[in-house]
Amino acid sequence: MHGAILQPACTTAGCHSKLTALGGIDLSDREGAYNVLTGHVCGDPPPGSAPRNYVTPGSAEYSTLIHQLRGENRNVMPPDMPLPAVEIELVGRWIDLGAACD
Amino acid sequence: MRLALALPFLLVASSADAYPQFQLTTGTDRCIACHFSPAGGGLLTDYGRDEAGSTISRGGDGRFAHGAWTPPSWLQLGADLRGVTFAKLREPDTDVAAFPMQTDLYVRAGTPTYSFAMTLGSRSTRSPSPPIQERLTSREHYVMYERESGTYVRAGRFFPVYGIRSQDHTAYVRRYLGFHTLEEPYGVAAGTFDVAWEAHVSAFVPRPADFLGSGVKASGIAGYYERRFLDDTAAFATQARVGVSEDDTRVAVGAIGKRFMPEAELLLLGEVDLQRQSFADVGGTRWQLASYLAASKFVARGWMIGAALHHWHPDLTLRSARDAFEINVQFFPRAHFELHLLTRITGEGDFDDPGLLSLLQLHYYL
Repeated sequence: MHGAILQPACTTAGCHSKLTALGGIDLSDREGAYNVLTGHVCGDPPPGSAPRNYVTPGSAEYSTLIHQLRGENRNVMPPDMPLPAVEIELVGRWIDLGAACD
Repeated sequence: MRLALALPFLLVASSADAYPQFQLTTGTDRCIACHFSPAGGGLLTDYGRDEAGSTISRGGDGRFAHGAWTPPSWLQLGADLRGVTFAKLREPDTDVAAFPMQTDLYVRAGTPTYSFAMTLGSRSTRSPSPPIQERLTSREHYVMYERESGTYVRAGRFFPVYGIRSQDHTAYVRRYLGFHTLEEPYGVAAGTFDVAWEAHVSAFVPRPADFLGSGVKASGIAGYYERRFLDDTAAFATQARVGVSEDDTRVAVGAIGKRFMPEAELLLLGEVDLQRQSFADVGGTRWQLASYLAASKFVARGWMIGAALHHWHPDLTLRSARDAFEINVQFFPRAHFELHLLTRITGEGDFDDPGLLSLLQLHYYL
C-alpha cells in the first residue's frame, strides 16, 4: 500500500515528505506512515478496539482517509491530482481487510 | 548586513530546468551548448546567454546582470526567479494562490576543465512555515572534469541524464519516475559526445540526510544514448534506469523522439517509459507506463505556443490511468524575462470529473 499508492502520490517535496510534513503528517516511510494513519506501530497485531484516526482498521467508511481521498466534505487529497477511483477502492479494500502494515 | 538578512528571503527553489523545446529549433543540437550542466538546465553558458537575446527573445542583453558587470573568467553566476499565480478548479472547490515558486542562485567556479558548481535556494512553499532558514537547500552541487569535446566526469548531487528534462517538474514523466522537486540523488556520472550522438551513464545513491530532499531513497544506475540525424532536425534516444530501495526495485526502459520540421517551424517531442516495480517485503510486481507527447512552435520572435499530453498508468493491470492535456503560451519580451501561461485539464483516463488548472508564471533569470 505504501510503495504502491502513498509514496508516489503523497510524499512529494512540498507535501507529506519528511522534509515538509505538511499538517504535521509525514508519510515518507512505511512504518511512520502506518503509525500516523492508524495510530498503531507497524508489526503489532491489530487491536480489537482501534483508536479513531485517519484509518479505522476494518471499516473504510469510518476512516477519514477514504473521505479525504474522495473529497467528501473536505478538500480532496492529493489536491493536485486526486487518486483514480480504482486506487481509492484499493485503499478502501485494504482498510476493510484490517489495514495490515504492508 | 542588511543584504545578508534579505538574501535568504529571495531564495526559493523549485526546479530550475531546461527548455527542451529549444533543442533543434534554434540551431542548437545539444544541451551543453547553452548550459554548463550536461543534463541541461540551470546556469547558462555565454553562448546560451547570447541565444537568449538574439534568437529566443525579442532582443536585449542576455549577459549576466544585463552586462552591467562581468565576473572574472573563473567564475560564472546566475539566478532563476519565478513567481506564480494560479487558479485551480475541481468541482466543487476553487483554489486560487500566488507565491514565489523558485529562487535559485547558481555558482560555478573553476577552469574550463575542472569546476565546482552549486545551486542554492529554498524549498518552494505556499505557506510561511517552516521558517526560511529551514527551507534553504541545494538541489545540485558537484565537481566536474570536462574535456573540450564535452566528454566529462562529475561527482556530487544532480539528476542522472534521463528523460526529457522539461522545466515543468509536474510533467508525469518527471513526477512519477523519480525526477520531481528535490529528488536529486548523489552519484557519479560520465558522458561523451560526438558530432551526431551523445551517451551518458550515472550511478547514484540516496541523499545521506532527509533534510536534503524527498522521494524514494534508491541506489542504482541510469544510462542514456541519443543519436541525431536528418541534418540535426531529428533525434532518437534510448534510456534505462534501475533503482533499488528498501521497499522496492524499479527497472525502467524508455525511448525519446524529437523531430523539428523547419518548413512548419514545428517541434514534436515525445517520451515513453515502461517501468517494472517489484515490492521487497510483500512480493509481487507491477508494470507502469509514463508518456509525454508535445508540440511547440515559435509563432513570432519571442512567442512560443505549445500543447502537451501527459499519461501515467501506475499499474497496467488496473484501469487507473491519469491523464493531462495542456496548452502553453510563452512570451519572451526581452532577454532575461519570460511570461508563461499554462492551462491544463487533468483527469482519469477518460477525463471523467476533470480538474482545470490555469497558471501564470513570471520568470526572470539574472
